[in-house]
Amino acid sequence: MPAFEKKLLIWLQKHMDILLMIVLTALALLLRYPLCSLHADISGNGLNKLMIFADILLAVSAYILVKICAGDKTKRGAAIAFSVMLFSVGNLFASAVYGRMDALWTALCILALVFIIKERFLWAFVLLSAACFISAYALLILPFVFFIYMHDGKFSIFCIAAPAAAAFIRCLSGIDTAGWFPEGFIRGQLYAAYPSFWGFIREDSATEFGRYLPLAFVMTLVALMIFFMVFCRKKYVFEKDKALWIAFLASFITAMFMPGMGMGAAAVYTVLAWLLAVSDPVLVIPALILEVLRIWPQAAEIYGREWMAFPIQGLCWIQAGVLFFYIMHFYKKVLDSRTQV
Amino acid sequence: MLPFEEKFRNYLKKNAETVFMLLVTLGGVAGRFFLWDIYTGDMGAYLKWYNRAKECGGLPGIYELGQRIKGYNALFQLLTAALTHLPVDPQYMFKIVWTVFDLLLAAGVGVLVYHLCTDGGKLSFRTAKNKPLDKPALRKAAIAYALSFMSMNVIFNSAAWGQSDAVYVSLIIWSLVWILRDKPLRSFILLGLAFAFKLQTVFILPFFVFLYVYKKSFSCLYFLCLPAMLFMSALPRQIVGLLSPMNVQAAGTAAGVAAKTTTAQGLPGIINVYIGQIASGGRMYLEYPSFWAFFPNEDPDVFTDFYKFRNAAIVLTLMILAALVYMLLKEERKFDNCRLMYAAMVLSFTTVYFLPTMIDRYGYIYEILAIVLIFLDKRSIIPAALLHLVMFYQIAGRVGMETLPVSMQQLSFILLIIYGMYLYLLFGSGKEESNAGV
Repeated sequence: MPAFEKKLLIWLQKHMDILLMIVLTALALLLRYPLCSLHADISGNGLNKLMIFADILLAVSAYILVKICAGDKTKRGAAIAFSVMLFSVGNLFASAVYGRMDALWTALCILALVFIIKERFLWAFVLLSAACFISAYALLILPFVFFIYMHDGKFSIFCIAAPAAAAFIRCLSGIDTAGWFPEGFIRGQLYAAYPSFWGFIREDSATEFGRYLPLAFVMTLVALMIFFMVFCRKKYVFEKDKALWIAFLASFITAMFMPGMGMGAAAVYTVLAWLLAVSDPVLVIPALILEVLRIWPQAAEIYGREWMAFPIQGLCWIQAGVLFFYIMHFYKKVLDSRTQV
Repeated sequence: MLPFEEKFRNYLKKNAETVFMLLVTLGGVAGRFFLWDIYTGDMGAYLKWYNRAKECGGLPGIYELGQRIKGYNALFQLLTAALTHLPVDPQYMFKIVWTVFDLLLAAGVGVLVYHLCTDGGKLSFRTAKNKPLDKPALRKAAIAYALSFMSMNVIFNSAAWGQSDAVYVSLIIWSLVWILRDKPLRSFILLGLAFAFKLQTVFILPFFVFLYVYKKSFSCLYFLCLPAMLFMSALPRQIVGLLSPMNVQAAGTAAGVAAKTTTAQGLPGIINVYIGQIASGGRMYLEYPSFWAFFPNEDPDVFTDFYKFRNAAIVLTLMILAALVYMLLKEERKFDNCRLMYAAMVLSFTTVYFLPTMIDRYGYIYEILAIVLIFLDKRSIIPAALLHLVMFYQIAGRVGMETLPVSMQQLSFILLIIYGMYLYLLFGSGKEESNAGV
C-alpha cells in the first residue's frame, strides 16, 4: 500500500468522528432546506432558513458538552449526541417548519453549561445573557445556576441578575419573533400549548389567570426547593456528569410548574434528555416521549388529523409520568453511585 | 464573591430547613391571598350564618344564634360569632382563619414526620434549643410541612372553596402526634375538639380503637373525651343563654331558664345536629367517588328504600373495619411507625370509601396521612400522587375549573385501585422488605 494511502487511512481512523459529523451536517442541511418552504404561512418571515444553521450550532454544543461530561470515556458518545441533535424531530420541526429560534438560544444555554462546568463563569453568563435576550425561556436554566452558586460559591449572585436583565431589556425593546416569550403569558392563560401541571386543570380564562399566577410561581419555587433539598445534599461530591442531570431535572421541574408555558419550554430539557440518553440507553424511550410531547400540540394544530386529537390532560399525565420516571431513576441509579464526602 | 455574600450563603446553607419553611409559609400565604375572593355556594352559606350572627349581636347573642342556626355545631357558631367583632370582610376573615389552620396542619404533619423518622424524637422550640436536632429527619419534616401547606387539595379546600376541613384535620394530626408520644389525655382532648368541630372526625376513630386494643397503654375511658368536649364546646352558648336578661325575663324563674336552655339548641339539640348531618343526603353517594358509585344512584324522590340501603351500607362498613382490625391484631409482625401509619391510612380510607353519602372533601384526613407515609415508605409515593391528583380533580370542579372528563364510576374504580395499593403496602410485605422513605 502506498505510504500516503496508509497515512490517509490512519488519519481517517483517528478522526472518524469529525468526518462523520461533516457528512451528517451535509445530510441535515439537505433534509432541512426543502422543509423550510413547507408551511410558509407559519414561518413566513424566512427566519427558518437561518435557524437550520442554529441547529448545527446546537449539535456542536451538544458534542462539546457530552465530551466534557463524559471525559475521556468516549468520543463516540459525543458523536452520537451530535447526530441526535441534527436529526431530532423536535428541532427540525421547531426550526425548519415553525421558524422558531429555540435551537439558537438552546445552543447558547448548552455552551453556557459547558463554561459553568469548566468554571469559566464570565463566558457562561455572557452566553446565558445572550440566550435570555433571544428567548425568555432560557431563564429556565437559572435554577441550576443558582444551585451551582449555593453549592460552589465561586461567583457572585449578582451575575445571575445579568441574564434576567437581558430578558427584561428584550421585553422593553419590542422586537417580536416567534417564541421569544411564553405565549401563555401574552394571552393571559394559566397554560398554553404545553402539557404542564396546569394543563391538568386547564384554566383558560384571562380574567382567572392573574388570580392563580402567584400560586403557580410559589409552587414552582417550592417544587425546586424540595428537589434541591432531597437530591442535592452537601455531603455528595459534585461530579461533572451529575451536572447534566441536575440541569435537566431543574429545568424540567421549572417548566412543569411555571404558568403560561408554551412549546419553547421543552427545548432545553429535551436536548439535555437526549444527552443523558447517550450514556444510558434506558433513557432513550423517555427522551423520545419528551420529544414527541414537545411538538404534539403544535403539530396537532397544524396538521389536524383525527388521531392527533389527544386531550391535553392526557399529555399532562404522560409528561408527569416521564418526570416521575426520571426523578426515580436519578434517585436510584445516579445518587447511589455518587461519591460521599 | 462579595464578603457579605459568603456570610449570606453560609447562613442559608446552615439554616436551609428553617429558611425553606419560612419561604414556603410566606409564599403559601401569598398564593392563597389571591384566591380569597373566590365565591362559592358553600362560602355563601357561611356568610349567611355570619350575617345571622351579626344580627344577633355577635358573642353576646350566641344563644339566640343557636336558636336560629340549627344545622351546625356549637363550636362553629362560637367561631362565627367571634369573627363578627373583627373589622374585616367576612369572606376574607373566614379564609384567614382556615389558612391559620392550614399552617397548624402543616406544622402538625412536620412534627409527626420528625417523630416517626426518629422513632420518638421530639421536634419543638424547647428541644431545638437544648439539643441538636436530627438533620435528615428535620429535612424530611420541613419537606412534609411544605407538601402539606402547598398541597393543591389543601389550598383549594380552604382558600378557594372556603371549606373548614383543615380545622378538624389539623386537630386530628396533632392528636396523632400526642398519642404516639404516649400522652393519651392531650391526644383525646384534641380529638374531642376536632369532633366538636366536625362530625367527620369519626373517620379516624377506627384507628384509635385499633391502637387501644393493640397498645393497651391507655384506658377506654379516654374515648369519653369526645362527647365531653362536644358538650363543653356548647357551654359558652348555654352560659350566655342562662345569663341573658331576655331569657330571665321571659322564663320568670331560674328553673324556667334552665328548662328553656335544655330544649331546642340545648343539650339534646347538640346531639340532634349530628343526627341531622348523618341523616342528610338522600343518595348512596354524593360528590365522593365511593364504592357506592358503582351502583346506580336513584333519584331520592323515587328511591324510597334509600334509608334501608344506607343502614346496610353503614353495617357493611363496620364489618369491613372490624375485619381489618382483626387482621391487623392477628399479624405476627410488630407494628413499626410505618405500619402504624399505614393502618391509620387504610382504616380511615375504608371508612370514607364504604360509608354512604360521602362528599369529596371527606377524604381530607387520609390524603394528609398519604403525605406522611411517603417519608416512611418510598413505595407509597405513586399511590399518594395518584390519590391527590384524583381528588384534586373533584375539588377543582367545585371552584369552577375544568376537570377530568371521567364519570364518577370511573373515578371510583381508580380509587379502588389506589385503595388496593395501600392494602398491599399494609399487609403485603414485612419491615425488612419495605423501603425507607424519601
